[in-house]
Amino acid sequence: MQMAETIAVLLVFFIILGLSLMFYGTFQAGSVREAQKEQFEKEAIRIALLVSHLPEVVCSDNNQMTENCLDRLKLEAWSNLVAPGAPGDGPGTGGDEAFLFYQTDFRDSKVVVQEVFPETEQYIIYDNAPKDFKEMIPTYIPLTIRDPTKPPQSQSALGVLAVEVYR
Amino acid sequence: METDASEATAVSFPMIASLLQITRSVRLLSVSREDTKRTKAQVDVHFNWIFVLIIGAVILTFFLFVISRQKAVSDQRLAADVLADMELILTGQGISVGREDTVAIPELPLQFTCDDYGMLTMTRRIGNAVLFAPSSVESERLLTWTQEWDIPFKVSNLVYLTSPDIRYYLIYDPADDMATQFAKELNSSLPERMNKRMKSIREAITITDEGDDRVRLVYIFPAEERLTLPAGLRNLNDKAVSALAIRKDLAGADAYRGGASLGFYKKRGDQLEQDTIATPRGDRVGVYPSLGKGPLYGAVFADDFGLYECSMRKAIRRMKLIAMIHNQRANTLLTLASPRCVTYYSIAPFTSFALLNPDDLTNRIRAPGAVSELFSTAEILENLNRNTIRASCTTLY
Repeated sequence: MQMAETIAVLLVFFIILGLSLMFYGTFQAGSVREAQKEQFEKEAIRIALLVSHLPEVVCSDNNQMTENCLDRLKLEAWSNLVAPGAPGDGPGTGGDEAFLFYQTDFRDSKVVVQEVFPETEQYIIYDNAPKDFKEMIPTYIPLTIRDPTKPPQSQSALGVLAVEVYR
Repeated sequence: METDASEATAVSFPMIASLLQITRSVRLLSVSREDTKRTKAQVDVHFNWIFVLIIGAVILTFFLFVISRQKAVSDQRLAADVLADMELILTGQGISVGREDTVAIPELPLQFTCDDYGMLTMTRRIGNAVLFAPSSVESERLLTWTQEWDIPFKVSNLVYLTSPDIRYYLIYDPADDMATQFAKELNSSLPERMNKRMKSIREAITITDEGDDRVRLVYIFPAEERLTLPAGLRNLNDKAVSALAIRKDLAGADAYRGGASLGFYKKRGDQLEQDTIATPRGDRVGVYPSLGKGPLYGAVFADDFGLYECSMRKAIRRMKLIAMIHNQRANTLLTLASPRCVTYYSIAPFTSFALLNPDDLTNRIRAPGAVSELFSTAEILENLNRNTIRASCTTLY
């Protein structure tokens, strides 16, 4: 009789323990998903920050980098260089090699610079957008696109840096 | 007596005898039932205790398991958070120059390899960030510092990491004016919060273990080929002591711009032995040329030659790509340039940078002029850029 009572108590105890563990597990899974989401948002900010400060495309005058300004000639050169299949100047330079080099930083993302005023033009900086994805975070940064071949008064144009990060 | 009487009666009356027999049997049976009950109760009590003990042990084991799992999970989560923050710190440091920060981190071993850095079992990719750090840091504080690498156009920001638990000794010969000057300059250039001391070559013999996690000896222009390990550091773990020898290659040449070589050393027993790596060609190298102030500072921070060479290889790959972009830009400028600017754009030697082979830098026997050529080309480019400003042309970089 006493034994049966003990077993019944234990049974109830383990049922309560199991339910608590299930509840805790669900809560934990939710917090992990939240952490992953937060991490993904951070990744989007990191890539946007990185692109807007790349010496490869940022305006420079005697090696002085200008904040929030991209050089049109550098953008054109970059587009030719990093585009998949683009020919390089030799082994280890340009083309797929260059794309792979920047892939370690930009991962699954698409980076586009769009000139919006006075003209509308688009430069694809990097495109590694996966066909199937769960989520995409776009980040837009307004900036100046400077064309050093034009007269000083018409060198600057208004543009937007669009960074789309996928997962 | 009673038995004898009853037996006598039984003999006389068989019926009564049978009744007596039954009564005795019943009595005996009831006695044995009571005994069984008592024994069973005793066994029950014992089994109950054993059962409680087993179940108690099972519950205790279960909770101990849950606690240990939870500790492991929370450690992993902490490591993941730290690494995620580290990634943002590295990005932040990578875009601002001359920044010096102290970051609080949990005192868990933070390991650095060529491609990634990790804590416990979690790792993060370094990407293209040019990072110079000890192979392992275990401290509550992480010191970060950033410098720019221009050659002469901007290539990348170099990020340096260390901890206050790593002590650096800048060892120089006071009789050698150049070494003294260089040591003083290096000491004032490195971050203020860095745990560093200047020591003359005579004082260096007396260096002892002061309880630091690691000790890095930086010998400035040492006269001897072999470096001597201070006796006070001989008892330390081999991984805790490393050295760098900055040797002047060419008299009169700028030590920062290709005029010096950087030799990496590791403690092995009672000696400092050169740290070498295998090249793709199969030979072993342990010396790297100084490619500017930033890379030279990097050699002070990185205690492993493999890590240093890998970081420099990344920086050079990036330099090649940026040189190609500048080259294309110069070509476009050339097509639209006014006659006074044409010369600068047509002779800008960006292609020399784009075609540089990183292997040539570590193998100066096969490619003896690679480094001096790089810096002379850099000088030409610097002059050309200066001239574009004088001629009111768009600058080359």
